[in-house]
Amino acid sequence: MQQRDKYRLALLAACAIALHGFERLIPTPIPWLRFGFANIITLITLTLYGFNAALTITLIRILIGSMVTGTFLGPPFVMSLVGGLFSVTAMWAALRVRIFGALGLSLIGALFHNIGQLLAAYAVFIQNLRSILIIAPVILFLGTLTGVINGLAVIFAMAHLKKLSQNVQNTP
Amino acid sequence: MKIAELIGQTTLPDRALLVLLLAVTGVSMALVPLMLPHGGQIRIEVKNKLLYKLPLTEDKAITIDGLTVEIKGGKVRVAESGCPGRICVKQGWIDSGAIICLPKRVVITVEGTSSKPNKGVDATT
Repeated sequence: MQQRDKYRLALLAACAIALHGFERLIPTPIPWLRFGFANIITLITLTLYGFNAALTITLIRILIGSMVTGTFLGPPFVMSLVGGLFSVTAMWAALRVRIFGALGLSLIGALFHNIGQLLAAYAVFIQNLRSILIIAPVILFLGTLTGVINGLAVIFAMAHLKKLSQNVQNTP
Repeated sequence: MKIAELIGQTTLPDRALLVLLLAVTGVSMALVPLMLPHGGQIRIEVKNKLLYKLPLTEDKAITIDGLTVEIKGGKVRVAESGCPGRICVKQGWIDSGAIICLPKRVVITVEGTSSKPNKGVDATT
């Protein structure tokens, strides 16, 4: 990996941390509903730099993000960590299948993020399968909606990046 | 970017996946409330241990670990939680489903009455 790529990854990680921290300020109708905007960054990194880079950025984001928001090692941290690992692995697997675009990858990421969180909630905090099953459809449905938003954001961002890099290449 | 251009950026599997996810989660969201028992009684579990089993018919307020659970008029709510998120408090009154407080690991579930007094054969028959 080139030195320039390392700087870019650091920048991407910084963006992810900022999104992770600031999305908590957006009021949502349901208090625990998060948009997961940081997944936009994860997905862009995954497409541009591959699995290792995306995994690194996810881990940096969750570690530093939890310190910024003061939830390090608390329940939200555990949920983020498991969700993040599930999501990045699933998106990488889906990317290798090569039939999905940014929207599909984002949906898969959101789905597995939520599956990971539900499993973590069951395994670590609440061994009550019924309450987990009651809440699961709602969480997965909302995750699909936020997955669409993030997927569209990735499409826009990638189109913009492509235009920028073309401009750079065309200038002598 | 125009709408048509945007749709052009998605693949057929993308769209199929979106429709599938919306359908499956939408239908199961509609089905779950139908299967939940209403009224009856509540179970309060703390750290996966059953602490209380209370009838919803009796108005009552109990405090567990700084968490105040209030039962009134066949419904239950968490009146005060003392934790930063207060998600359980914001959920308000419920008569089916569950209230879950992760930080204190308290689960309040509404279930049907187990004894079913109206369906059994009573002593006089």
